[in-house]
Amino acid sequence: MRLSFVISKRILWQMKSNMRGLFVLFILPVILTAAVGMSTIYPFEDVKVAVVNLDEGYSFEIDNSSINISLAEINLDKINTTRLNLIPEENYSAAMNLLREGKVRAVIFFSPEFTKWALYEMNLTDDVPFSSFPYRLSLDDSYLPLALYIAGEVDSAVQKTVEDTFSRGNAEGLLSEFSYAERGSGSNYVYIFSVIMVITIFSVTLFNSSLIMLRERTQRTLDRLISADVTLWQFYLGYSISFLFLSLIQIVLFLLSMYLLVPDLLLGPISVAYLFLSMLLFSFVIQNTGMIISFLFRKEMNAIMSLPAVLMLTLMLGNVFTPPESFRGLISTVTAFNPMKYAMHSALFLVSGGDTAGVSGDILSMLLLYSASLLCLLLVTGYIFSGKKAR
Amino acid sequence: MLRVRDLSKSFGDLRALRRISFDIEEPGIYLFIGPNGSGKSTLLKIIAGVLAPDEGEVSILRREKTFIGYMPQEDSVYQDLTVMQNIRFFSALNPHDGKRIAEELLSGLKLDEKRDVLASELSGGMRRALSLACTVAASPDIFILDEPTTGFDYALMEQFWNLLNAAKKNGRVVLISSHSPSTLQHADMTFVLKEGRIVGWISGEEGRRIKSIEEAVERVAKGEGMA
Repeated sequence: MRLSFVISKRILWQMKSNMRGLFVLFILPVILTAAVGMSTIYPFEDVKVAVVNLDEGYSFEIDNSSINISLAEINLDKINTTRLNLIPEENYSAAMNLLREGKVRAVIFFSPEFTKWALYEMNLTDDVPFSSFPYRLSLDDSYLPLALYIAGEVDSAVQKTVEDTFSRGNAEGLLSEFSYAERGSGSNYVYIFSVIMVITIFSVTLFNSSLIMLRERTQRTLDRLISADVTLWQFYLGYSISFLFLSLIQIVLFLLSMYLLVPDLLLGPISVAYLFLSMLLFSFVIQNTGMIISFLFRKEMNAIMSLPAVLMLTLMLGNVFTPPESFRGLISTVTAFNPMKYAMHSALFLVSGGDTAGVSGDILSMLLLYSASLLCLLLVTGYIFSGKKAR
Repeated sequence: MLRVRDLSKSFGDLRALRRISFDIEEPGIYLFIGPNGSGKSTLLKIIAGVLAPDEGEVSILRREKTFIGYMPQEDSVYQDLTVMQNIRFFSALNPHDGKRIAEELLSGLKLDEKRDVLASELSGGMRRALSLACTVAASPDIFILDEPTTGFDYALMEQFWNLLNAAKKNGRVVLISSHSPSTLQHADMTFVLKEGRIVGWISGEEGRRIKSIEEAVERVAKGEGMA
């Protein structure tokens, strides 16, 4: 155990001597989290929204004179037009085409019977509306924070309309029932954050473990350790301790910056604990992968060139960008052994409660996967060590 | 102390070692010389335990645990660590008074001004000195040094022999492969290798009269050594 700590301390010294590496290790997670967080904190401006207002209003007879009010008009007047840029459109399908083409971020549609429907909902008339489609807010869901922001602005306008026009505080029932426009993948925002977290830990662990191990071989320092009777277990444990420690720091930094910048995304102690467990195991497996990769090469440059390919392959076969249903047969089995899948699952679990994960996985299968990875590494490393020992 | 029996090693069709046997029973400096490709480095690697023989065995006959310090032909130090960090790491592999030895080594090998310099920024000779310091810092019972003096200047060479003679006095065994004639002056026994075999040996006293490695090899070839 003492020798393992000596080796892990040395690896940490090596990391410390590389200031740029340290920047990637400690500062990048904070910067990335801040960048993602800022996009939700800062208010949006000049957001283009198409408005299709077909509302015919509702006529009241007051003192033998007829008064027509249109709640849609009042509603539109209450919308904050410094934030939302309302663009009138003649018909619904043209407006929806603009939304699908990305030219507007939302479509607000008022049917001819909107006012009638609203008054009926508020029990202000017994006149039953004919239309079952009085009002619709369609949103571009390619960037969820923006979609939620638009919905919030529109709901706020409805609330003000009800308060000012009818002196009522409760606009429930009239608040927007929005639908998405089938343009984006539905929950890109939570994916962005999760992917950043997983890729950062993956990259730092894979690059460092493979390069430090490769240098250990090519600079012949591994020969010195072997001759000094450092056992396979001591050597392996030394590497594991240092890389688990580094990953722990990264996860803490991620969580800390999330807590300070986007606290709404943290869903509580259980999801945080799950994240810690799976991310540390993830780092453990990636460290193994890095060490195995290092045995395949003799030149540092060749190893460096292979690492992005490993990253891309792991991402593509990790259900990061695709649902589990998209893989069949052998590929499906490969993805089941891909640690990226489980790391993404835990990251998504943290920021979304797992609802939008699109990834299936449980702790048991995750542990089995990691055990298999460990076994592979021990077989490879053990083979290399056993071939060298003479005494 | 050290017993080598019937060591053989091949790399493909090349037979690097052919049934090499010898015993070392006393502390001292033991030199291995021979032409390039004679098997010196392979022999030392097998004794150090970093290479497995095809046949034969190496036994260390001691009651207590024996620590081996191996210095490969390459500058096997961590290039991204400082001089001091390298020495401290290798020193920590064998529990002993590493701090005192490290300080002595730094001043002895003229590395004290470079203690905070990265190994990658040292000159070739200084890096070689650091590689030696890393081996000595662990205070091994058996030193195995493969071409240790390459790139050493006169001053470093002197310090090198001071270190090894002190180790010898402290009961250590030192195995060296070298092309440097000065090694003959200090060796207690010289083994001459050719084509993977030990073809002869030269005593310490006799070795001090020989001027070059080539002369030593020639004398053994003519049967003037103790073949």
